[in-house]
Amino acid sequence: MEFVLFVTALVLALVVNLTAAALRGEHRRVRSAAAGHHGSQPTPYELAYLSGGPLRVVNTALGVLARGGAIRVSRGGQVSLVLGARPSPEPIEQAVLDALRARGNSCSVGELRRTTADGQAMSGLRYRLVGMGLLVPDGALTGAARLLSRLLLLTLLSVVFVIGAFLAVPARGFYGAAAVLIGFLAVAGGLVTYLRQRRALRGLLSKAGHDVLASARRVHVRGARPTTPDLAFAVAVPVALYGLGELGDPGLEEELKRSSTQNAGCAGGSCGGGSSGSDASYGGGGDFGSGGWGGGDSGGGDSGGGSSCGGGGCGGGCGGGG
Amino acid sequence: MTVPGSGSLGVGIGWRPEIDLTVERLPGVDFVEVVAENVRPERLPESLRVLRARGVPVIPHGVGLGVGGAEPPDPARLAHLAACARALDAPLVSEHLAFVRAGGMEAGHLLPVPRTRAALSVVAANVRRAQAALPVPLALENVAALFGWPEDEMTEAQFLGELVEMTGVGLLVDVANLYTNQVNLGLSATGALDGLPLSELAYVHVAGGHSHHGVWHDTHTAHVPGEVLDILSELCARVDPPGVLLEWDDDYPSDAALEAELGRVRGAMARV
Repeated sequence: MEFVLFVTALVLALVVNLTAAALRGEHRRVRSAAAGHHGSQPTPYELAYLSGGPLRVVNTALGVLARGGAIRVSRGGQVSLVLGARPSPEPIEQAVLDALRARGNSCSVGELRRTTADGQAMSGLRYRLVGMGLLVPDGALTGAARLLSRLLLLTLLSVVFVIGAFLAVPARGFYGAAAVLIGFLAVAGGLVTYLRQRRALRGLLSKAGHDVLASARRVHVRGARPTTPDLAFAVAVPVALYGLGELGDPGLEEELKRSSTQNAGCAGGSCGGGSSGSDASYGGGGDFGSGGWGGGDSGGGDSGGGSSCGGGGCGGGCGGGG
Repeated sequence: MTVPGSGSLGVGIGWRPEIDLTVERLPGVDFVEVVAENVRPERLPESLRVLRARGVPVIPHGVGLGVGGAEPPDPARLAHLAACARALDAPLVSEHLAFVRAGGMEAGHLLPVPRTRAALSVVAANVRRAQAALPVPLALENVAALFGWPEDEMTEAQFLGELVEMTGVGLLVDVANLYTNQVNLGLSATGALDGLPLSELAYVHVAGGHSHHGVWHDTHTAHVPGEVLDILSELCARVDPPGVLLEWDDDYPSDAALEAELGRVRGAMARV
């Protein structure tokens, strides 16, 4: 009986291991198979998408527009259009301005994030990144996703096996103890690989995407605040790469972050845990909380989700003349 | 003479939730005013708490008390104003010399009081009731009238002068309202300044508006026109105002534009 369990444990561990290896291999293949990047200089919004997905892109636009005086953020995360704000040549920024105009020039930052993250400008940005070979195209991960499900199933099977083996053979000899131990290792290995790959398979950057992001981070170091009136350098690039912590305006940063904690929804409906390291999904750098895209290697933070309106009154009152 | 409570307020801006961070950050904001009906004293907005912690005076400004009405002011509204004053540790409370409801109907506007002797005694009684219920001095603001009553016996300046004398209430002069009445009703703004008891001045309002088909709309949504600043300068030539406050209620411009607007106000005050 114990020998049968031992052999079963070996087979189970082997299958889990082979599946995990196949998953990692598929992941590498997909990342490397994306079209090559031709070396053009990425824009701040392309870097933002690579670094933190749609949420980071919207936060970058909010930072640029707020610091540039086109929008105003008030306590509680209400965003309003500033009188006389000029159209922006940048599609994402213009999408934010359009969303505000469509809502009577004011709405919550959460609603603004969701609208912009789901909008055409964001889709256009994503398609461009896929076309540049910096993001893995939709559908390329089907095989990896199938392997991921299989690995989860095998891991659960291993859990059942370990429990069963532990209970079935109370007085364990060598083979019985080895069966439980091998089964336990299969569970641990399967679980770790599953969790890592599940994170990594969200919004996958290609190898070229990682290279571009790493290169940008070497050039633009965290905490270096360019003293230039050009908002693209002073605000857009730092926020794109590292999150709202690099906004250079602690008060504004606090309001944009605080507004996100009131509702844990995520921009574009695409939440994910943080990840870092060589096989990260988005490149990380400070999106935070219960639904940031990257996370991992930075302490800054963007915010996700929505918020209710700030301010507001509690009474009626008369109109003009006062 | 300085109205009790007003001290030296300086130059301020109307605090509104939409521009709370802006108001906190604008350089040279010496005091702010908040619409009393829009705050709950037991749960003050964080921004107002921040400003108070910095020592910035916050004045509750009521729009719905209706001391100019035939009925006594609502005790609940008075209690709310008093609670606001206490919560904000305000130096004074301001309201309008207007009636806003009658017979259970809300006008939705600040309507001018019939300036008759009979009305004066009623309004004076209302003001005394309000003063008794408030923990700080009360100041009343002249309104931008949409019309004048045919039975008026006094000018607004005379009416306010007698009211001040009878009750000791402070004066909040809105120079934009003086300008509005000048354009729309032909009432001279400088004439009003000549007649108003400026020695009892608590502070001053300035605001912008729009002209539409020859009618001036005091919307508080635009830059203060030069004519209004001229009236402010005229006022400053007569008295050193304890405070001057910019009202801007919608269509907010950039922080820089608001800062520049406060600079224009200071410039008009210094143009004496």
